[in-house]
Amino acid sequence: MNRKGRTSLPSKYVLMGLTLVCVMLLFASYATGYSGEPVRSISNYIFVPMQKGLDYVGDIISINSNDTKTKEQLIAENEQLQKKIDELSSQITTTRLEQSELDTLQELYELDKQYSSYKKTGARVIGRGSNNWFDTFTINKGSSSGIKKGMNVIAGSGLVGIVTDVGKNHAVVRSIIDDTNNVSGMVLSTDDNCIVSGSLKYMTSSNMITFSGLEDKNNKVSVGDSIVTSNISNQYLPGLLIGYVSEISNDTNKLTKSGKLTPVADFKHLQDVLVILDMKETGK
Amino acid sequence: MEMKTILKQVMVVFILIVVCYLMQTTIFPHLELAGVVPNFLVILTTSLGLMRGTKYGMGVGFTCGLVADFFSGSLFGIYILIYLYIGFLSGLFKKLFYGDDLKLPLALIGTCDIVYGLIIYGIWFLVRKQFAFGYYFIHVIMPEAVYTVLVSIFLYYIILKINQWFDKDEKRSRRDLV
Repeated sequence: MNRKGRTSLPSKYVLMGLTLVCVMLLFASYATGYSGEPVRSISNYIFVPMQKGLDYVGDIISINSNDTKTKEQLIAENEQLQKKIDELSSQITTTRLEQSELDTLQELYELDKQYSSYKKTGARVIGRGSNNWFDTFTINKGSSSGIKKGMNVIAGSGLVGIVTDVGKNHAVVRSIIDDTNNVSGMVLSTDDNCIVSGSLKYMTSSNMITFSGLEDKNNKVSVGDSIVTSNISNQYLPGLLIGYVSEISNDTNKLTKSGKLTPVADFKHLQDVLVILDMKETGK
Repeated sequence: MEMKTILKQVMVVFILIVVCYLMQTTIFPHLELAGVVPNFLVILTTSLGLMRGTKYGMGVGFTCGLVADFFSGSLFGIYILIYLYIGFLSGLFKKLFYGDDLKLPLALIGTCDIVYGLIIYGIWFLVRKQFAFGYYFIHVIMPEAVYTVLVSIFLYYIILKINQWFDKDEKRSRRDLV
């Protein structure tokens, strides 16, 4: 099919034929969710092993670019971090006290711990998507490690994305900053729901994504509030941190608010991620 | 053409596609400039289409699209369609192809990459009411085209050498037959 043989078939007919094949594939994939399974196994044996190897080369390059920080920069950064450590350790002590109080109260009310530890598995990012428009990446674990379509992916403390495609030894993850991605979110302090949408435009210009449809009648949500995944989302587990509100404004309808938030996960330097093996039960 | 030479060419082109795809997804994301990664698959499809004609271009485009579709996680077949047409269109310029001249290939690769960007914008962004076309053009389409053209200066010579080798090989096999 893909080589010039001894045929005298004019190439426009070949083009028409192949176009037809593609259109049929598109319809099939739209209607049934088919994504080229039989041919796909090729990718497991050719691309994934090589991507795993080449990933190390890429790592070496990126480490080298980190090495170029000057001494002054490092000292300044160190000071900053030291300050942050002091700040955080004082926070931890108060949080511990609150936690123990919460535990006793929960015991009293006989509530299950809602956000108790999910089962997770670590995975490595071995490849990026093939174009600059979407933010997808490939990880080195697939169905053989128990990964399924729709599982949530986190890194550090923040939500990174959702598994959209699974092979035997790899899986494709669409990140939350991808322009086509939407997450149902919730402001942690007020429990108000909103929709968090990825944005190529704001991500490249200011490292932020957008949220919209926030009902905040009492004007309590302010810059710096954390936004987590909501309990009404049908794809994402509740309580995963997405990011912090960095801009907020009233919509023209005067009922809802929208704005931008800074995601917590560092999408520029993703290397290791955690896939949450528990999935949201939606009763479907 | 003899079966053996055809098989040899298929193998070589397939290896080229694999190498290009791997460069594009594993190494070059670490070397991104202005937040973009060059599009190796467009370089490959366009240059082989230009050197060897429409059918060849379509074949390479089809395979490149297939590979891109494997890992795209969206509708299966959409990249095949895009790369197929890129291969076909660049194949139409075969008549104008003269070995070492760099101007036409580079212009064609740049144009194809811009067209590729416009198609992606049209399919996935315009339909979702992302009307800030100027922004996307300046921050995604143009940088990608410039970076791609830069990389293709080097890659083109490699592909050109491979093309000359194919030509010699075909001639030799024809002579053997006679």
